[in-house]
Amino acid sequence: MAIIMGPKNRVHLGKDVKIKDTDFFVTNSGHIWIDDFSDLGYHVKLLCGNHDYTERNEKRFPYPDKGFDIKIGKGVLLCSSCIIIGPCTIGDNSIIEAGSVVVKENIQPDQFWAGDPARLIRKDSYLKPKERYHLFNGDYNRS
Amino acid sequence: MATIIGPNDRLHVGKQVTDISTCFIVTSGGDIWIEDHAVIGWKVKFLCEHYDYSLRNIKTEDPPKSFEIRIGKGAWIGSCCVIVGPCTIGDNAVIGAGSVVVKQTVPANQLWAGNPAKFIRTIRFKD
Repeated sequence: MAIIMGPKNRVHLGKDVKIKDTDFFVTNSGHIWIDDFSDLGYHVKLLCGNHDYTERNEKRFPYPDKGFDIKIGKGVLLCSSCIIIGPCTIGDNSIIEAGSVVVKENIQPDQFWAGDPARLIRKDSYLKPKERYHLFNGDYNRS
Repeated sequence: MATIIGPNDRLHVGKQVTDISTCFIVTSGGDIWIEDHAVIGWKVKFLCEHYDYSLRNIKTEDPPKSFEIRIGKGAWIGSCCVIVGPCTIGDNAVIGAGSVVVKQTVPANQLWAGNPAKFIRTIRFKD
């Protein structure tokens, strides 16, 4: 099971969710829902924490109790060491590329996102073998 | 306490700093100053380490000590950031989560984010 900072009863898992021991969840200001058959890689960070940065010094310490939920749909693939920052919704069967940072996005089903900050690469999460070659060579536009 | 590689006495933490137990800190190349009331996120990496890569056989024993990281008062470093020295982050500045700050000087009261970190906007305070 993953490392959880904050209340542990705020992580809601579906059935057959694959989670590694090195994943890192922060549930201080929101719930985390991960639906059935989703797959998380290594060192994935799901962060539902926030501070009010319009305050100064020690007034920045308190964090809100709710409002920064992360909802991950069915069959989503979160590749290794990607960072998801709440509030965020990821639709069914989407793919988030490794090392990308998703900040407060509402991702529709069957989409492929990558980058820092993450952007929409394609509207089809199924990859043909030839496209897969370009993907792993870092050239998203040619595929 | 945080994972510290290098001399422990080079890490200077001020009063009322948030929990840095999940941070990864390398102090073998210089001092790290975290001033009062700083808000440090989860899994932040502070890297003060440098070798002269123009030499062929790099001596790993004693790197130079001039790579200082200074986090100002009330600055908020988002989770999973990487801060590479020499680096100065001003008072009440904000670094977005997951960003990489390499050898930059972030002025006070500004929001920076991205890889590499860029200026996003100046913070408007409530008061």
